[in-house]
Amino acid sequence: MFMIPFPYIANTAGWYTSELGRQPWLVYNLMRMVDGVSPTVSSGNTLFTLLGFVGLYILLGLLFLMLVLKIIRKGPEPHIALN
Amino acid sequence: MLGIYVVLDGYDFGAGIVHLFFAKTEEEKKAVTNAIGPFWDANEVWLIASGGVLFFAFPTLYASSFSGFYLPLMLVLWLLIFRAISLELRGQIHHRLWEALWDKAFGLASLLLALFFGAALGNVVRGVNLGMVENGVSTQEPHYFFLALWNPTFDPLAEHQGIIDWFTVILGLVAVVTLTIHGAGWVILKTSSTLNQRLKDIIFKLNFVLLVLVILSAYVWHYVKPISLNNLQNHYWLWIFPLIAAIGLLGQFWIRMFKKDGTGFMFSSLFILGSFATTVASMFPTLLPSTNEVNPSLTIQNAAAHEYGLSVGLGWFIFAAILVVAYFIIQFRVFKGKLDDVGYGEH
Repeated sequence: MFMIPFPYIANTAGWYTSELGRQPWLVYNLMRMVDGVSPTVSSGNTLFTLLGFVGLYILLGLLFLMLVLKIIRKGPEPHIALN
Repeated sequence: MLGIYVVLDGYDFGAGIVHLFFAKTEEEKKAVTNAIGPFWDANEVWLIASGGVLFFAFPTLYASSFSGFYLPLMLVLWLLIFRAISLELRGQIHHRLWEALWDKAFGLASLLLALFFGAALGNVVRGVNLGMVENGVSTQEPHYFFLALWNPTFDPLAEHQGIIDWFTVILGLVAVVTLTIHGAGWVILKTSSTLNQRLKDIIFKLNFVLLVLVILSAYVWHYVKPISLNNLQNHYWLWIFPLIAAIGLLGQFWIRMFKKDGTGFMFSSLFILGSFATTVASMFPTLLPSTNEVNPSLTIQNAAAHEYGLSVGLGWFIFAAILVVAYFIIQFRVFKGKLDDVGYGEH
């Protein structure tokens, strides 16, 4: 039961590895991260949408937690004995 | 591809709007969600696929438009997420407040999506300030721009436009009415609930509204972008597309007399595809017009990828298209006929 958070941790750790490991390259040896920035999208815009996504995902995470706990609380279907 | 997406996901949005405004009893709401339940996920894939094809085939246009339209694209993304989760989560808890919340969320997200997509079309047609030209001087590279959500005067002919101005709002309204009719047609086709008779009356009345809106939008289109008629005037065979759209629009007036349930849906699909084709025909070869005199518009010539990449991509596209058509046929065979007892989202 204590293993429940581990898949999420593992998944996130994998993404950290790939995204942090690729720095400073966007395309290895050909293009750096700083070259890939859109010149017209200001940092304020990006922050706004980042916060928007964070908020949305927090909401979805809470909903998910609530629904999963509800299903767990309901328990499995009654077992029909085979005679 | 985008045209097919609009026909397919369009009826999802329309069904969502129908659900919010017209489905009164629980049984009717279930009918609407059953009608789109098995389909909406696959329909959204067409949107993603068309974005992917845009990236591969016209990278400059992709870079330019996706960064210039950053904010509305994010909003559309959030609305799509909301619409999807409200459809899925509604059946999880049998409590009046929960169901009411997700009903409203579903309907509102569908409505706003239809509005935004119409406005997006308006933006592409009207053109943008490529290069962020101010007083005749380009302040950015010639294919970059950024549009605020609106400018202080809501005027599409100003130097710095906004996403929302009176021209794009008119086109957004056209999209909302079109997709409501389209979605209602799909619900009639796919279910046999008590809602259907009312929906036919609604479609009939909305069609009058749509006729007025289409005439209005044609007029303002010409006002904002006078060159859009040039292609049509120079090449007479292009008039087939407005003709198809007109058949789709006018044929819908006989909705109450159709024997087969799917005819209304066919007419609204004709209207959507015909209008799309007319738009493309009027803009060809421009992809994203420039509203200033300094930087050139993005055309298919100057925004396209290199020839080798395009030829490789075409080969894979044909292969993928065969797969998609096959899947489509399988999907429709499985869910053929009325979907009254699918029980989508039941828990």
